[in-house]
Amino acid sequence: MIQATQEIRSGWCVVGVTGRADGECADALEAVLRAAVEANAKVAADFSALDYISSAGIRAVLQAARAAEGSRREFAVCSLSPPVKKVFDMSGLHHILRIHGELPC
Amino acid sequence: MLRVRLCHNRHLSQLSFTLNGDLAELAHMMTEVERFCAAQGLMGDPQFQLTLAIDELFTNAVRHGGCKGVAAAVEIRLDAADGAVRVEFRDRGTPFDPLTVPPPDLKAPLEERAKGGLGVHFVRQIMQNLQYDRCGEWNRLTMELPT
Repeated sequence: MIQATQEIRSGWCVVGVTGRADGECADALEAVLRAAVEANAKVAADFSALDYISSAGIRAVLQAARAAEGSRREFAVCSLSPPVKKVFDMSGLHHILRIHGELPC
Repeated sequence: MLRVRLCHNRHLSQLSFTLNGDLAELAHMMTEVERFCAAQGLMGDPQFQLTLAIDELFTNAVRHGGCKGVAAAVEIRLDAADGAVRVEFRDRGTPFDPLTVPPPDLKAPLEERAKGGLGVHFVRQIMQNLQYDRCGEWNRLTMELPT
């Protein structure tokens, strides 16, 4: 199960994601993040309530980041819980994604 | 359907369960791993790591290994011994040795990183003493998580 909320704050579209980003939910996560990227110049994915992520979830985030790069939008991944941050660290994506400790707004 | 066997004695605890070839079974798998880890006092990081490694193997087997739609496609056995959890992961998919997958280039640009291989990379980061063999119609991977 994954749930997402959206709100605009100081020019950023903040997408709050709750639940598990696994192989069952990755397509839903990718769709939510890509829709936000298509509709907004600056998107912050708030993962503070994301309990779990697998490589399928990481790939969903990566696809959203690629879409943002292709359309020159800003895309930031924010507020990772310690276990989810460890998965991002193992993935090496912290080298190429904008990962923030806190929301930019 | 999920069949579960849980045995306890003073020194050893073991859990075996079977999953159908359907990603909706991930939730059942996570519940079983949580139950096992709670019984062993392995909540927190060990539970997360065990869940992630099994998730990656199961998701690969369903998505790429021919297990999709197959009843009782995967059998998982967890054994807690001194200082480690031993995992046996068996699937009825096409013959596939994950240990032959080359490691991903973690420094590659965004464009390159959308390709696969990340799940197996996680398993190899988390687990130790990985061994693969093909037993009849089963792929069998054994591994250990140091606790």
